[in-house]
Amino acid sequence: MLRATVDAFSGRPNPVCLITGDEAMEVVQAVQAAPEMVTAPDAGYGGLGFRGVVLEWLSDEVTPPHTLPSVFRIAGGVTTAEAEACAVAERLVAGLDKAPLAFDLKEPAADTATVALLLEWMASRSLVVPDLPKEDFVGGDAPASTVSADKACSIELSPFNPGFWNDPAVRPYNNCYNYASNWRTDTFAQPGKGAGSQCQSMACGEVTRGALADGCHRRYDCFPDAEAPRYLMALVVAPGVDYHWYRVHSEGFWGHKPGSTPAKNTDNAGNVINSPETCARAPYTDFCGYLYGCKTQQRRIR
Amino acid sequence: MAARHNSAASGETGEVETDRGGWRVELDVFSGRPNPAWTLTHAESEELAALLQGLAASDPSPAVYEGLGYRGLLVRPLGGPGLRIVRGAVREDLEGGRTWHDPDRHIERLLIEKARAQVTPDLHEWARREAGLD
Repeated sequence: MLRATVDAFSGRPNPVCLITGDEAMEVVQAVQAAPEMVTAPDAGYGGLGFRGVVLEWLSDEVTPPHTLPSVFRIAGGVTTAEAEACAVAERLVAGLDKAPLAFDLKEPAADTATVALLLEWMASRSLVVPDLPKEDFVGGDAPASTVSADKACSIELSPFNPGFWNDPAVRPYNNCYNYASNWRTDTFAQPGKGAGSQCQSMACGEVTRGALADGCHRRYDCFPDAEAPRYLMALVVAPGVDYHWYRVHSEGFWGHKPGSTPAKNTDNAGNVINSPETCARAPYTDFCGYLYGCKTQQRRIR
Repeated sequence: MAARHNSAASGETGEVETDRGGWRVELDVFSGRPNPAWTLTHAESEELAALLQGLAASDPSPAVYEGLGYRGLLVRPLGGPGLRIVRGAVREDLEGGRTWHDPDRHIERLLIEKARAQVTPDLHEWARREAGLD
């Protein structure tokens, strides 16, 4: 038996329904057909409106081997399989006011008007799907059989919160590396400096070396859960001149902080950054790749 | 523009208030590395103050560019409000700050030329290109 919580309301309780038998099996099959849609239950869009559907196993009636975690979220707006996830979520929402989806509840999980409202919210949601590599698993425990240990990594996503960085006591003293690491040092942190191995030249290899010395890992080189928060960072370089970092957020876009200027989620052309690889970022023309930050790295940077 | 270089008290005149020490100049161009910055000599600061005094006020400049790349020069008179000099405008580096016109980007060119002694030749040429002063 599956319990589905449609996460959408702020004041009212969220609609909850129970799914059993063939219905549950169909949901499992749909999710397993695109396992990238599975995220940790607390991952994804955290604002007002439709935020996804949390699915929980309440019993073992669905015959193994299914590969899904015991609790997970779909359609939170942060995976590479949002279209498939929304199709599953829409079906669940559409059935909230019908039996047998909520067969054992005295009342339907939601009335027809509420279902219509939720479907409208889903249709009008304009989340930007992040350009995450499929092998990055957002938060929580990865379903072991859907991802292999050397190709998938759990990461954390935090909401875009420029106010913290744009405080006059913070903004001038923290740079893009601070922002991407999500760690304020008030020192304009330099890759490698905290490890006694500051990068010496402005080239992809050298800046990457400094970040690795601080404790970053290259993409696909996973950190254990104990190293959370494990943020996905992207490095670019203006060859011979400077470097720049981005960090992906739970809203699906990327944020950054150019030097001592304010933190933002837009590029040089004023567009929301969906991909650090393709955004307007001249003169930082070299895209160096993705790295993971971690708790140890946060505390080491200087 | 009214700029004063030798006093710490001019709040009611609207003049840029400075100290007798040298003015600090920052080439605002980097994201990761600290921006190149240096302190003008007293004579250089006097020269800059004189140039600033000759500027005419202008309409508020458009929003300051705060993206990647060249963002101008930040001049910080010791004890006075900062000034951002970029693309023909001089504006107080604070919300609602006043703006003056820098004809032919004269002051900007002067300061970038002075940066030649502070940064590597490659970086200086790069900054000139980024600033559109080639």
